[in-house]
Amino acid sequence: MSILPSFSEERLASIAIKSTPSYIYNNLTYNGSHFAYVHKNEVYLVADPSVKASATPIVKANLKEGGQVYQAKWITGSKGFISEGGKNMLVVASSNNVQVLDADAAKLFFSFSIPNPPADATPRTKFSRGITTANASGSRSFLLVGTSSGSILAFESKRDKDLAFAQVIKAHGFPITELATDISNPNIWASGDHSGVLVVWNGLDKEISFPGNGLPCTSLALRSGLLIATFGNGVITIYNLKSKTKCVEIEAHSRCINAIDIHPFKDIFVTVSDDSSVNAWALNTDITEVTHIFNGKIKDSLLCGVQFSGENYSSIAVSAYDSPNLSVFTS
Amino acid sequence: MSLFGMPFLVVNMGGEMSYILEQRLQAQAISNDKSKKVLSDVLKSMFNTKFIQELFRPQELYSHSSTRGIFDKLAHSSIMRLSESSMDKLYDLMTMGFKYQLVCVTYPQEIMGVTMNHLESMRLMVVDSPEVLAMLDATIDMFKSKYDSFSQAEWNEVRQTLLRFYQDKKVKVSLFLQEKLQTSTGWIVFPPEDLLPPATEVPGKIKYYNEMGVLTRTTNFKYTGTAKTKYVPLPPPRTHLGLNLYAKRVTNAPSSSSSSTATAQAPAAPKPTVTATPSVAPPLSQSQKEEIGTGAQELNLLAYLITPNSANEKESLKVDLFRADVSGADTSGFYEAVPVVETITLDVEHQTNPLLESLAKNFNISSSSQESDLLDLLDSTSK
Repeated sequence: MSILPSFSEERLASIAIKSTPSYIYNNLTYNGSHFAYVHKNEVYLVADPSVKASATPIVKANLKEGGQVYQAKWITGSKGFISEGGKNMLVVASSNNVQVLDADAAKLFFSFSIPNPPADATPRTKFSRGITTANASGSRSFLLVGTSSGSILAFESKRDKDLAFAQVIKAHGFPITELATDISNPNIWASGDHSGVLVVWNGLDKEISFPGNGLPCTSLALRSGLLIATFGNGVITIYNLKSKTKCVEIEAHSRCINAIDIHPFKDIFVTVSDDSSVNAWALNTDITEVTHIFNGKIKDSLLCGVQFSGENYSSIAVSAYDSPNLSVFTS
Repeated sequence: MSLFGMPFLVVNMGGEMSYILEQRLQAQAISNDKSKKVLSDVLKSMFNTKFIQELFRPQELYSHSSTRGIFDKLAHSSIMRLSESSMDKLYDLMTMGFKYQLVCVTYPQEIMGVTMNHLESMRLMVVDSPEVLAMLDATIDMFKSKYDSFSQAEWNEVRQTLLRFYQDKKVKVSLFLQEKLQTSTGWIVFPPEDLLPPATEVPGKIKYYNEMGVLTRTTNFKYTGTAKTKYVPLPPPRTHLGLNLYAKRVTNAPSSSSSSTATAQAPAAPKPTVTATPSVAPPLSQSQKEEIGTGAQELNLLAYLITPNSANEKESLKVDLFRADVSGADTSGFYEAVPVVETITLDVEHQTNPLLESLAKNFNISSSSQESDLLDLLDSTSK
């Protein structure tokens, strides 16, 4: 295992941002050079000063009308994805639609209106939330977005063709909170919902379903056959996808966990919470062992987004509700 | 977001409004009878059956301007008459009061406890008015029946919805500054963590399970936070949030010292862990512009349902909520307790204090040309 990075509260920097992050789950995304986060009905891009000094450090995404934004996430198109293979794209999930923009969030490539939910006993607002990409057999590539009705919208990307709506995947009985894919095996992805139910997919096929205990699953990450899920009661749970059982439970935070990020190439992950804490964990995937490697605090803050960032992803960037800054812990 | 946020918005802000009105009426030596009548009339309108029914209808949160419209009407549904400036300040205090409570809850269901504290305190103000008491009791029952079965996810949604409403509201309140509930940049200070939420353990354990689901091993990591008390359902008051910060503190305060915000020890002056930049007022964002647009167009059905109780103009009671004494200093103690830095309504052209001028920029003053919204009310005095 590679040497673990060493973070410190002493090495804490701030990036001034234009508008404050909203208090929603998973409210920070990073693509190697730019952050993006949600402010009410808007999305802002922030250049990472440690990677490239930018003439325009802060840019507002050029969204079309979509109502309240629930999540923004960078995706990297795999070769042939929307003919922007290898480039970053910004996916924005809102009340009324899903939008896909280019790397500068200036040009809208694709948008799709969220279908109205079926007439229901419980009135609820309609929205989309939970964003990931995944592959399916036959070299198919999909953009997947969850909805408030518990279904997942699949959009297929075909080489030299525009992204197109493919199908609705009926998945959950409660609103989707997040979707995530295993970088090392992009056919495998997972979905979580308000009741804590987790579903693991292989392409478009449901493989495993883990029951919930009524507490919302707030965020997800996958790595090497392990599913890491965070919950509203401050707990992180790790599931072994081979044995289809829970293998680790971490009493990690004293309040709701709002976001998780897993390092793109190191086996470490980081969680943030309403308890104003950032916790980083080392994960030995061979023997499924977890070690706590860092705790940082951002005083009096509801932390709602976290991303490994910077050169070699050696820093941890955090967003907080109502805050005029992103905070960055460097190693 | 949640379609169930309006009852919390109106009742909790209404509760804060009642606390402030009660305190100010007493402070200005308004007769007991008149004070009681004012409060009783305001609460009678707030808990009017039709109004409450409409409030509980699943709907999106009103805009700021419409919400302000509701409270304008509620405040004037009695013989009391408030100046525009008094109403502005009152609304700011109500806003920051409830925002503080929303930010500081240990777990989102605690919003119910906050609401119950407000409702029960308002009940005490109308014990002599059985009609209003009955309306309040009916409202308490409605809250319980609608929300007792909410899941944690639904409570998260309610809280997310309400926090969105209050996003970027950083008005400094001198009472909060004095009590160390707010920093000099308007940032809310969290109470020290003690109680854990339901279903949450003291952090520190990593538990390993085998394929049969049996716990095989536990390792520990260092937890440096202060939360240590496991959740148990508490008797009323279930939380210290939502109790009356404006009441004179008495030695036999009902809540235990560990749960009373009003008498809590100020947390030790923190080493700033975030670079202290003042909360810079953003220019009017698209979402704010949209909100303004919504406010003008909204039916504001709730405000429409509020009818005045005392139509007799001869009886009207002009109350200077935040009256200045001869020296110009505000006597309420809520504003301007320290030299002008907490002034909400800015009379910037009369100020020569450069500190104040720079602080003035920190308030959410819009340069928008749009009329008829709260931001313009704050802005109009600074033009």
